[in-house]
Amino acid sequence: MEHSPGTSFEKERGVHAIQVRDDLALATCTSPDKWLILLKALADNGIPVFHLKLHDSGITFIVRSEYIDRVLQVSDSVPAMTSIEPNVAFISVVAGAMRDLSGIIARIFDALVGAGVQILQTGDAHDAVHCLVREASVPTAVSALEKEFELVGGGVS
Amino acid sequence: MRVMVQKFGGTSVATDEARALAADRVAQAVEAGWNVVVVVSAIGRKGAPYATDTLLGLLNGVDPQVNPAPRESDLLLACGEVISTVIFAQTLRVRGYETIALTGGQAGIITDYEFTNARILEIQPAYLLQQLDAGRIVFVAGFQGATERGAITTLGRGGSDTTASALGAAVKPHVEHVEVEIYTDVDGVKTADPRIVKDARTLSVASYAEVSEMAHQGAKVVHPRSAEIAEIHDVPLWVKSTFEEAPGTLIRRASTSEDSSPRITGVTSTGKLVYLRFPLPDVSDMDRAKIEREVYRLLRNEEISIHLSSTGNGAFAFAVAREHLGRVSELIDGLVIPGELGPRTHPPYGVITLLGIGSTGRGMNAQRTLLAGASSLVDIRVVEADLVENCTMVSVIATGIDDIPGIFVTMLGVLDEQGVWLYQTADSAYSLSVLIREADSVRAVRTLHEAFKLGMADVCG
Repeated sequence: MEHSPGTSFEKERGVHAIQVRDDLALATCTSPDKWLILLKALADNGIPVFHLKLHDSGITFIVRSEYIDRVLQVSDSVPAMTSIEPNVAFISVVAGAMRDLSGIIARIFDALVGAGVQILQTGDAHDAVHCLVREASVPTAVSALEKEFELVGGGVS
Repeated sequence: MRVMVQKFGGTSVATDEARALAADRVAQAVEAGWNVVVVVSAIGRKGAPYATDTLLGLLNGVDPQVNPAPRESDLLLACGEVISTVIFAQTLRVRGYETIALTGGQAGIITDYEFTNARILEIQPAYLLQQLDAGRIVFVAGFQGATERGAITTLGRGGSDTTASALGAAVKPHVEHVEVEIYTDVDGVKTADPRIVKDARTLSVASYAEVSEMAHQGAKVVHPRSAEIAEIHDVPLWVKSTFEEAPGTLIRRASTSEDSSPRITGVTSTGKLVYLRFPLPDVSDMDRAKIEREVYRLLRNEEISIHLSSTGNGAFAFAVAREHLGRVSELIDGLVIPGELGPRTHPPYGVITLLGIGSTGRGMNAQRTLLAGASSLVDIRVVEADLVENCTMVSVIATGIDDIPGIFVTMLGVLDEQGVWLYQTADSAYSLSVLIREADSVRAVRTLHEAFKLGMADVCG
């Protein structure tokens, strides 16, 4: 038999990886009545956005750094009040069977707040919890998360 | 040897008529030259004599105040599938086929010791293969396995789908070819719930990732764990109807242009949720994070999962299942969180944050009275969370989201045109989701299905 106990016949439960995606920028549009027009204009200009979040004051979203200038140009043309924070990174804590695991986000906050890392934004999917942090905080954040989820020596990609 | 693993759910074996149709499917596979393994769920749904929920009710009925031991609970729950398996095996036996019925443990499924939600560690298929080789149809009770010491375990929700994929994966290295068929009451994986969208189309092909995402986002097709096991071991998975002659949906690794090109696959809705938003307009990001941490710690202690989390811009927010609202209110309404210290020489000596849910929260108002005496010494920051009850999440499932221009803005735009209020959004590699009022759910699903033309072509996007 190929799959002995301890190997992955099915997905492991629990956190098994931390992924970092850097070279990103956080855009904030504070024109509540213009954000949909802005998003359409960005799409028309072929600028991909992700991790869109709705707020009372408008929206935030993430773009790759290469699009920063074009986002601001498009925003001016709408016009919409948009600011950009460059040099941010998306850290994803990836887990199997996330629905069985309450409290991953609590542990992430424990680790990052404890390490003094500022969390700019959060998000979640069925297999991951995401945190947006400044690029300068990435080494500290990853180290804290590795320790919290006992991933030291592997699992970061 | 070519092995077909067929799984039949509770409704497929609930009546004599349904069982006869299911038996026809088994017989057809045998006559087509397959060696057949049949995985069976417990007969019927809640209320049926041997359904899982009925057995659980029997156990809990002894004394609802005392939780059953998980080990004994599994011992009882596994009986439903065993009864169903033996009855179905006998149905084929009277038709003249040689059959053998096995428990999950007898079929070689070894699990860990996490009773009621066990994980498969390995499958030893030698005996099952020996029985197939002898020309028997092998019936295996779904949803269960056994620990290495023989204690019966159950596999949690969707356990019979998991059993089917796992058995397919286990025999694969030993046979010429293996496929798994999941029989249900719809004719395959649909682009939307056909009860909501009349022109919902059956996908001819879907990838494991697409189906797993659909299942995670609420589509009741195949349990995601089953799709994940099939993907790990590259076992072709079919979803077919017990009751209709239709080709069904083939779920496989995305390897052809049809299922690896960017495309929109379906629209789902899931969850009865409540949304809580905590406005913290004049609080530093680090202080806000500390408040969030305390809230999430409390929810973790109660094993309450959160969804659609969001932070920044002077607030944090999340959704929880509506069934948890009462407990969440008890935990958070009136929660006092010490904040940063001020100067030691004169008041205010620090900040205390008092959380409440709405302005009428009893806990918050009680605490506010108690804290009034301290207001000359510390700043008391009162945070009244906005509560939106009766929410649900609607998702568009897609492959290659980054390569489908404007998909998110199209989604948001058509919902906005329909007057559907959006509370929050989320995106992942295979889905875009919005949190909306439950009352808007049907309209939103129909609108998105139409906007993305999911009823018209086999490949969209």
